[in-house]
Amino acid sequence: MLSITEYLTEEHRECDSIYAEVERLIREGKWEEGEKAFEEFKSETLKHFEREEAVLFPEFEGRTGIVMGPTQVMRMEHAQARELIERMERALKNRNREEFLSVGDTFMILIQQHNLKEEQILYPMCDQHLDPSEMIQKMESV
Amino acid sequence: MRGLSVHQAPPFVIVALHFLTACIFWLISSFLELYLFLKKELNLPLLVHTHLLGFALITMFGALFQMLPVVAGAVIKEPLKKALPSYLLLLFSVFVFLVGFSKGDRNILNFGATALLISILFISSLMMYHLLPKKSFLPAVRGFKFSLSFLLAGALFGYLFLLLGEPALFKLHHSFMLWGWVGGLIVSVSFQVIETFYTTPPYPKYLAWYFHPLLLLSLLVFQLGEGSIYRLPIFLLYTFYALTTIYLLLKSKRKVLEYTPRFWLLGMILLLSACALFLIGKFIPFLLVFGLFFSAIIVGMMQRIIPFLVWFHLSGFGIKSAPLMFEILPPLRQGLTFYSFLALCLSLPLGFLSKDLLFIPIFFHLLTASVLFFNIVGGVKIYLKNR
Repeated sequence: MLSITEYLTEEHRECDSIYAEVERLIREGKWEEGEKAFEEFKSETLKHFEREEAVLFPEFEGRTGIVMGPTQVMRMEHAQARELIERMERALKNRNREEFLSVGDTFMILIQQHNLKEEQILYPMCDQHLDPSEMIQKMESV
Repeated sequence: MRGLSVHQAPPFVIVALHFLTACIFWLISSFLELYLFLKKELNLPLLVHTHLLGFALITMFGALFQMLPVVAGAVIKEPLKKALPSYLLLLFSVFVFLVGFSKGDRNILNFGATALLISILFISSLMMYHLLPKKSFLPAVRGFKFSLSFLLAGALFGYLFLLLGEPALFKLHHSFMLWGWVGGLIVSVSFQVIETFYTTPPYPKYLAWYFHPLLLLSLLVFQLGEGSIYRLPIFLLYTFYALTTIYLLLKSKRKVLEYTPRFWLLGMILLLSACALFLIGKFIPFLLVFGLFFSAIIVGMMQRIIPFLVWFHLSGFGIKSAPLMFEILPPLRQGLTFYSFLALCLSLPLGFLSKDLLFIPIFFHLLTASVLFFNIVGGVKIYLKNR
């Protein structure tokens, strides 16, 4: 049976992988394929955020009473990441390769240090306080 | 339970101060090389310690102040109040210690070494105090614990060597400091950075989780005798690690514009060369190449960390127009440090052909250090202007 850490870490890696493909396509000037791949990346990333914000964080906060702790920081970073995704989308529509790669690079570093905090700190805490199979089931329904 | 602060990261000033100081020391070390070259002198302890303490140690402490809360959830409360005095003590002690080496004055050296030991003990213990209670869910965190322990041991051995002059203590000192602390910390960071930042396959689990315990064993075996056989475990461990890292980097799914992966790749090639020189017992060439190895990683990583933190903090202040990483440090300028550093590496063997030709790698060291300093200052200036 998967733990919350394993389940969500796997999602992080999948999103990274899709982004790498988008980046490659844009660098090679394959805009239409890049747009399609970007849609998938955006949808998967936002779905992952939604799973956390709608299911995991409230359950964790309810169980532990920690409201202004890690989950709050994670929400703030999700907001920063969403903003960068919007900027990437604009750059993609404007066919601005330099701008896209520049925003994407900042996004990747932000998201990796964000993932680190989740994988080392938040998810293990969730595994400790919540029922992993129940949580995974609820998150999959998002 | 409060693993993360609301502001997410320690104040930017801590990292910026450490990195800027380290860049200045690197610049000083290149001028020092030029000065000694012109005087036709070689003060190896002075050069090695300027490089290792002024550049590597100060950078690594700065980076750890940043990484501990982020990677390990080890939050040092009121970080500025702790980091600033410890930074000042470290700066003072490194300076006095280097003056001691430069003047060959035993009293200054002893005083500097005592101050240095106190500052290393203070900073490492502060970090260990916050880090040790944290469970290591990631191999990187476990690696930090080992590396800091190696630093503590290595510094203590160095101090005892200075007092007692026992050759066995010198061997313990340099092996724990170079392979244990500097190498061990870089390996820990790579376990986290390579896979996630460059979307590579993961490191084999047995390597990531057992590297540091095996390193401890290898360091102990190294102390048992003088032949190559005693150096073999360290050689094998680091060679396997470097080859694995090269393999992973070549498998990276990301084709990025910036130069950090190239710095990692170059660093690993240098590490392989350092391992070979270490195995055959060529101590001075080994020291030079090992210095290039960790410098490659530090120069590469520093130029990623500063632009990211500038953007991260400005964006965290709610500044919508916060400049992006490429605007803070364009890949072209990062590339300049890469190519001048590469030229430094490639021209170094010329020094073995003729001492007069050493001028060439010294020139490239000076150039790389100057551009790095300019790049880091540029990032800090953007932060101060937009804050």
